[in-house]
Amino acid sequence: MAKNASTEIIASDEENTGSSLFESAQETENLGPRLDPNDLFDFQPIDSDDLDSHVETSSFGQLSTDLIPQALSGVQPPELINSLGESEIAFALHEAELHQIIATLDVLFRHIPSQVRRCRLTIDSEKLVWHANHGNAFAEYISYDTHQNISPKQEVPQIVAFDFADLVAAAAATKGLGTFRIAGHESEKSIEFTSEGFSRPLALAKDPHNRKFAYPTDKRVTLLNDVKSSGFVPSDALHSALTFVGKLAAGHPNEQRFELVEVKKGTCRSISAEHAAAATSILFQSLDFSFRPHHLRLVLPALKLSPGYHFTCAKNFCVARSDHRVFGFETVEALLPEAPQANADGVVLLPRHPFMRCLSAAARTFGEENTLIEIDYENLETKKLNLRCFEREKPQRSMLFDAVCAVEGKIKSSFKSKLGFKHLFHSLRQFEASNLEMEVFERKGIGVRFTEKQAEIEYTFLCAGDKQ
Amino acid sequence: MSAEMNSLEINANVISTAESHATEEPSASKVDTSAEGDALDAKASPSRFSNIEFTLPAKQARDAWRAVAAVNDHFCLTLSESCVRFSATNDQCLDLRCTIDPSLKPQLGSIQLSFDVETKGLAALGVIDFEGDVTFKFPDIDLSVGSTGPFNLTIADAFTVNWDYLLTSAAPALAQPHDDKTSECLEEGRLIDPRVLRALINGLRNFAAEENVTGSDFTAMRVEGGSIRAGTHGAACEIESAVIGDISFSIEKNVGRSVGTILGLLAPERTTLCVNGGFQKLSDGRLTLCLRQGGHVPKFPMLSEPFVRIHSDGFVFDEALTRIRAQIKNQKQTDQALVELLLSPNDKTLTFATAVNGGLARVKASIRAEADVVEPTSLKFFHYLLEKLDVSIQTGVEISLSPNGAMFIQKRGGESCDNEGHRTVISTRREKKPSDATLVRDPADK
Repeated sequence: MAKNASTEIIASDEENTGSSLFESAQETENLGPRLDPNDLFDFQPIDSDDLDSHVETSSFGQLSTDLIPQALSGVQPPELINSLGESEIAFALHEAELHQIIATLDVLFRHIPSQVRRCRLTIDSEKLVWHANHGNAFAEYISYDTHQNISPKQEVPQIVAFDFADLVAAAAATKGLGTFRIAGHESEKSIEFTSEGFSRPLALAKDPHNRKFAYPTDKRVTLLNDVKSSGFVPSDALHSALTFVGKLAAGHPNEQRFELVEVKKGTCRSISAEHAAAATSILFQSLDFSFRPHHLRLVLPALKLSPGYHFTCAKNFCVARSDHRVFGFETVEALLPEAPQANADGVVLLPRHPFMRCLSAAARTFGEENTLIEIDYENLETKKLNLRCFEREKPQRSMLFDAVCAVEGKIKSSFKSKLGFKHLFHSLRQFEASNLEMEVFERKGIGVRFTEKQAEIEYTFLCAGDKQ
Repeated sequence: MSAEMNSLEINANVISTAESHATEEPSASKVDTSAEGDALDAKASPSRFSNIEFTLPAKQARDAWRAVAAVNDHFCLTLSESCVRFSATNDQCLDLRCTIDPSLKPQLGSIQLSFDVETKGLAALGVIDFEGDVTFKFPDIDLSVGSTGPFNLTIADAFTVNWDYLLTSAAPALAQPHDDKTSECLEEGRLIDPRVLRALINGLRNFAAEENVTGSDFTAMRVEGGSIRAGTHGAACEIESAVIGDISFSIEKNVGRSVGTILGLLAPERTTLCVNGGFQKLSDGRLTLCLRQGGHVPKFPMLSEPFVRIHSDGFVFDEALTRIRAQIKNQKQTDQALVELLLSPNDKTLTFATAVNGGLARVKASIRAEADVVEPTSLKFFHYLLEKLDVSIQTGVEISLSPNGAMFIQKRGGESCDNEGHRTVISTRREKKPSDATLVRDPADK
């Protein structure tokens, strides 16, 4: 069977040009009649200083730049039927950018009543700032005007505000470019939004006291101007860590817990009366702040929108910035107590897949809130671990899982312990290894600790139990 | 009865006291005849069984659980030596039976037991693999009706669920299972493809009224004469399909979801339908669904003579509908929202317009008219009626505009057939007196 020459590229110390690449392959494989690559492609030397003009004037093989979809970002020139009147402002945005704006503002607005979802737009000479605000948190999207497409150029920032639902509806109907035209005089301004085959108004909110729709968070952001930012923090890692600890922090209202998520010395932590969750990574080393768990509903979806952020924290406020997005939220100075540090008496290895399948079945059958777990470890020859999930109200309704497990270290006695189901279940869902490492502590009752290191994050979940 | 009891005595291993159960082999089923039983002959009838167990293939058990869970939150588990049956019924006249031949049969002699069980007790079947077996085990059954007790469900050797039952009957097993409603379907059913029926019901789910709260009696969907039809006041839809040419079937909208789930579980190659006495029976041999025929379905409304017929590309028309619906979706009050269709002969466009915060939103869609010259036309529709319209993007749409409504016609390729004809009629908002006023005032008309 002939080897496929196209998959083999000869390594060379010299830089491979198109022609030499063909010659190298020709030497090692019989490819039939030799073709001159110059007959196929136009290998002209490219002057990198004049790349733009070169793309327009020369052809790269049979491809034309017209065939390549153009990604438009930032402010675009408006598509106007009539010329702009005095005091009118116009600009355009591509539909993809409009959807990004909606997604960004929605992370804050989705949790508040529709009556108070008001979007503030600031137009200045270099950018458009789309701002969502609620209480002590905000989210912003910045559309940069690198080609001076805001018409006319605004020397003094113009600020308008409108209903977010109107912007969502306009964005949903946009095809290609959407043009915003702010028309009318001071007190009767409105935005006429047009796109291909579509038009609608965006009614502007009144500003009777000329406060420019200012919010308290604006001042707090200004106070952070001189504060040094953290290094780049990758969003996916921080999102995984905060998801892991956040479910414990934002538990059921009746549970006793610290209403706090702490990000300090490279560790995200949260603690309740019976559980502690931590996710440690060198990626969070530069972060140092604590916040109330209700801000997770802003932070977690906002992290999904950008590959990474720079965080600036001081004066009980934290601002995260990426290229186009900014979000901010209030922080608190409280600290969590240190989690107990102790060496485990023994480690039990549990097969993760069947164990999690049993927990999933219990969640479906009894409901997450109504389930309790009982771990029964028999320190006999068999080294058997029985897990029993049962309904809180009717303990006779139960689910049994037993596994012969591997044990390291010395667990002195057999034990039986009750653990909370919901947080343990959610935490273990984030684990990926084929075996779960359950460390057992026998001092002062029974406790178990699950630990797993994934990529650059180490997850730890500590569960205190009552010895039966 | 006596013959049955004799065989019972031969087959059953009689034990005298409840205490002795614990010392017996766990796999052997036992029957106790010392105490009195409610449903059986007092002298020969057993009073309790112990260690009754049976095994079902995991996929069949899972399908049976899904089927009964679609009907009610409780189901009846009937055990006899020959078969295991899951059955459920609800107030909406759905009667479901799923009969499975167990690989390990319950040793019950000639006794048939029925238990009432909560469907969520078997919810663990939803997370298991199809391979393997599911074993049900009843450690101890007191045969007095109304007694309760535990049973174990071991799923593919992975884990065990302990749940509880309520005994609803203990009686001699009948040679033929009692089949009240379904036995009325004496004629042999005709083969149908449940997937086609399911797709057609899904296609009409927007048109039948959910409940009879607005004065509408039209809460059903009916298959008849080669088409399926549903409608409410102001809108109706009919799908013609050759595949359902000789099927007669109808259901109420409120059981559409349950029936859809069960249609998805029926075996397509051997599902039959028979109709008799106001009841319909769908069966694939294992799973049998009996349901009452649906109620009123309106006749397909006839519009007055259309003044224009236009054609639009399916994608273009659907996109215009989506764009105008987006303008209404987030409005504070959508119940009375109107959408106006304005046909402009000059630029061959159909404009959708609706009032929004601060003015009017307009969307234009290009069209072709059958006649060269048409007059400017405007029709107003309630948004909640126009929202029911479902347009496929793959074929063109023919639109007939009449003074009292609009008809939308599409030929589509169905799931299991070559051609389906979809006709939808939506009536205009009734005006108290004719008015030329329109929502739309195109700037060019001024």
